[in-house]
Amino acid sequence: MPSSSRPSQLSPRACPCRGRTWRSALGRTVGLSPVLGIGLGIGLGIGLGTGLTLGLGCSPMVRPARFASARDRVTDVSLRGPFDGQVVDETTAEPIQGAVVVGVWSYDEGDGLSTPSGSEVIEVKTDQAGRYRLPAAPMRKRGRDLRLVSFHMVIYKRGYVGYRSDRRLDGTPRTDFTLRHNRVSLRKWQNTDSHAQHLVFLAAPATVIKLSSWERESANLDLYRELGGEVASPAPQEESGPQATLQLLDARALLPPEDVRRRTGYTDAFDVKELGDLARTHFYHGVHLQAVDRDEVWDVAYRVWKDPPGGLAPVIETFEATLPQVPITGEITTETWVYDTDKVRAVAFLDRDRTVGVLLTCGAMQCVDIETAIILAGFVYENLDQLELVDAPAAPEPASGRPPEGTR
Amino acid sequence: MRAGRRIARWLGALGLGAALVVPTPATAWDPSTTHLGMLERSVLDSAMHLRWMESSQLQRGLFSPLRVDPARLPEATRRLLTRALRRVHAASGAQAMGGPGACPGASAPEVTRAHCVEGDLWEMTALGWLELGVVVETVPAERLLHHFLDRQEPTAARWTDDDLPRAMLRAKHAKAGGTVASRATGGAFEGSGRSALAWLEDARDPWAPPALAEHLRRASLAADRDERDHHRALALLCMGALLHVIQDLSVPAHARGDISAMFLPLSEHARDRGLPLQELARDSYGRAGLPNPVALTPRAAPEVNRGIPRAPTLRAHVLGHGQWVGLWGEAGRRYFSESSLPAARALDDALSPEEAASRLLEGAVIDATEREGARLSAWPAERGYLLGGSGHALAAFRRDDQGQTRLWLDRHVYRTQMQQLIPLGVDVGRSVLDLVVATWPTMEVDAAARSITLTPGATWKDATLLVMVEDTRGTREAVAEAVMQGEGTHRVVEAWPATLAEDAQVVLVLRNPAGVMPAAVEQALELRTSSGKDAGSSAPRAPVPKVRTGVTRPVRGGKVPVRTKAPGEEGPGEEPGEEPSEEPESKTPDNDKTASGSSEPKTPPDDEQAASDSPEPETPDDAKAVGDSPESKTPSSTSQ
Repeated sequence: MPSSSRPSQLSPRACPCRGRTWRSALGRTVGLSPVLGIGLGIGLGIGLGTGLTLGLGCSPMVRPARFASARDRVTDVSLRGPFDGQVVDETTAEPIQGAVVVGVWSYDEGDGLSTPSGSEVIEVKTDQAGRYRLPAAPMRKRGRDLRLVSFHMVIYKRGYVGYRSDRRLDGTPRTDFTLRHNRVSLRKWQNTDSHAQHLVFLAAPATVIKLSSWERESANLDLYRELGGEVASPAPQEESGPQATLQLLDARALLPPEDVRRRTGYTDAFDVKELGDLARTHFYHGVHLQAVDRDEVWDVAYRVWKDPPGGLAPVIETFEATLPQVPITGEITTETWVYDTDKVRAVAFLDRDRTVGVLLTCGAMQCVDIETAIILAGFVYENLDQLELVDAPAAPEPASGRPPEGTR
Repeated sequence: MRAGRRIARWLGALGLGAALVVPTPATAWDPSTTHLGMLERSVLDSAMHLRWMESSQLQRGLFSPLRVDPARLPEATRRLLTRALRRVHAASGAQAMGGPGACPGASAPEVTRAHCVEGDLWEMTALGWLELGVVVETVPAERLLHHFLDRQEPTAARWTDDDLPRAMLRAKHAKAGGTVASRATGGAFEGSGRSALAWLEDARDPWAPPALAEHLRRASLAADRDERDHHRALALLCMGALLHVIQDLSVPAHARGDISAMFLPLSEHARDRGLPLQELARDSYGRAGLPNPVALTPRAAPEVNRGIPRAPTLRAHVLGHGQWVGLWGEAGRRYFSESSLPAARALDDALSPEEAASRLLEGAVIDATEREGARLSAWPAERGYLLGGSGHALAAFRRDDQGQTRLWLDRHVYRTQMQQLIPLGVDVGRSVLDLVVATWPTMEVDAAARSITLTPGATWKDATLLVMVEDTRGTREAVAEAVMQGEGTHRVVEAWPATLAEDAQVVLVLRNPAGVMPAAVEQALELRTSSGKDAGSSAPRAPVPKVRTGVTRPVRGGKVPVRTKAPGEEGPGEEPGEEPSEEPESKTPDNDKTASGSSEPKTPPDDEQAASDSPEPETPDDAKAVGDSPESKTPSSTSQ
């Protein structure tokens, strides 16, 4: 985004006090006082008043924007905004509804020894079409040496890699952000992604901090691995004692393929895989029963949270985000969500006694009706006692600090 | 002559300003972009996260939330922190949740409770507190004045820049937001200030290394878990502030005490002044895209010397140690700042490029490696570059109408500086973190025998080992302590009680004497007594080089006297950095390079006195530490 080749000047429009100084304001006032026969004290008083008016009433200077106004269009561009655009899924190009979009206008102040001077923040959510619109900067801050120095936009949607208007996940500068008609393609989270890298990249404002707090524990483990820490338990070392082991939740026993076949009558094979969008941890496991050589409407998938570090509240948030506007029923437990569409059926439930949350989704061809999905969820519920922690597979010695793929 | 030189510099600066046309003034690296990018890089390159995770059974790392209780802070510190939190840019990663007023009660509108944590507590990840530390160093702006070294005598406790009249500097200070009060107390900028080296030893400053050391000790030794987290967060703030100061010294203007350079005109706007190097770095790189590498993932350990500090003390990071010439030697002697450029000279066209460069550098303060072999890129010529002995551009030159050859810093020179000095600042930041967040020394644990065999090495040779038992509520109690007697192997027997409460955890803490960095380190033990010997070996191992400990010196003699003491007995009762018990001694650079690696004044702790006075354990329940001489390997009869 930053480009040294671009001209960069303070915006004269946004700086009504530009060029004025305390000295000039006071000097003019003191200069008038002998003419008018007014005492120096009164003159100073007026001068101070003038100065205060000039100083405290000044709109901030606005630095030049480092982004374009819009693609293929030349219009005025300013850090002030307003900003608009659309958030879509990178793979499907489908709009993403309910993504949190945070606009942050940041200020510096001081002349010579300048320092940060806070931010103004506006938060919106994308609509059904994935669109967002951030109004112009509130510009409530006042001061002679105040400068609006940057605008950042941060977008967060669980299950996706977040977005920043100034840089990409790999740390390189982003150059495609535009003021108007900005198109944001969010990539689905993959199990090879690093939560540590994600959190460092987000450098999140408070709203996003809250939303992303569930990633912290995984981030600690991810970074530990990336730094070369051994999280698996290889063969015992002769010179040292047992080593700490990274354990992972194993939910595969909750719904074996044969249980699905028993209910649905499906006769072909399933591949039992990991759901790749969220990293597997000691408190989360996503299992994908992928129908071999079939479309995904024949698939079954379920996600299980067991003793999540943030409690069940984030799990409920996930349910509510995934299954919008679904009332709570008592189909499996007293807190069950049932969601039925033409293409997919979903059942989620909480077992607070065992601190477990489950979200099961079933393609419409595999689960011909919602009752089938509820019964499969019931199988999962009956098998909850089979949840267990297993040792993570041993990771090979990292050569470059990057975790090997597939270790999460 | 001197006045002419000043005018020449300012003319050059004005020309530079017109050439750059970059907006807004600032200080050193920009705190909200370049500094935070450098800090991120330093943290990822360091072994800090690795060491924390290992010492806490993988429970605590850079992304763990930590809370600060405003009620525990002294009033002045709380005010500073509150101001910093208001000033921090919200998208910088250093915005805290919670704080006073964030939880107005259940009856308040939900939107007013959106950032509530609990009571008045602030909460942020460890990384967030580190990043906020960069910002607290800018609140108030006068704090930036202790980010300089004296241009003539880098070891001096104060720096002086007499390029501009004091009256002009006072005016600049006022325009920079300086207060009358700061002028009255000597904190104002009037052409001189306390040097960064003095700040490193300032026991009164709430964010300086002495306060950092105290917070680190309390982060391990405080009985209450919340209190430990509170001090851990404050220690991280101090580390962020320390990195800000240290990394600022990778800017030539800072390493050369050239504050005049901070007020150079950057554009036609009257109040648009600052340091061109900083502005160009912010403009060119932002927070992302710093000179290689830019990825937000750790680099390979050997590539960055992860875990190995460049120098054994903070002071030595600035002044040098062994082969390392220090930030002062690198940034302050191999690169020019705006006001430290040599004066213009008339050069004969008959001179060779080497001779012309030599003439231009006469009287300049520049390292010999750059002076020798220096040459002009072309001579005779109207313009070109002055190249140092290492080949990089020291300055641009042009011949003016009077035939004088003037030096100035242009965009190309600044880019050279950025590409060399930002990675340098990153690496020194990494090194400082690896020094402060030290690794646990080599140790073997025999859980069944309740014994520890510990080799403290040079880093911990004077440390005190405290054995603490932590219950399920997180409350820690010291059950034994032993004073290390040198670098050799120590064996501590009956280190913890034979019977521990269910789920109780043994935590070992090594605490260095006051003034020695690293200040403290802890290691949790996972004791599975049923599995017998070695069950206590706790942390997973990682291929991280340990801190260099130098030559091991075996300890002679018998037992190390031990005694028990509650953690609360140690350290001042007041908050670190507020009311120091004594002034730090002034040190010379030579004093710094001691074998112990300590630059700070060393106060013999009570423990050391006890060690010499009482050779016998005071209580029968105490742990026993045994030196590594063959005859003392087995627990002596005095252990019972």
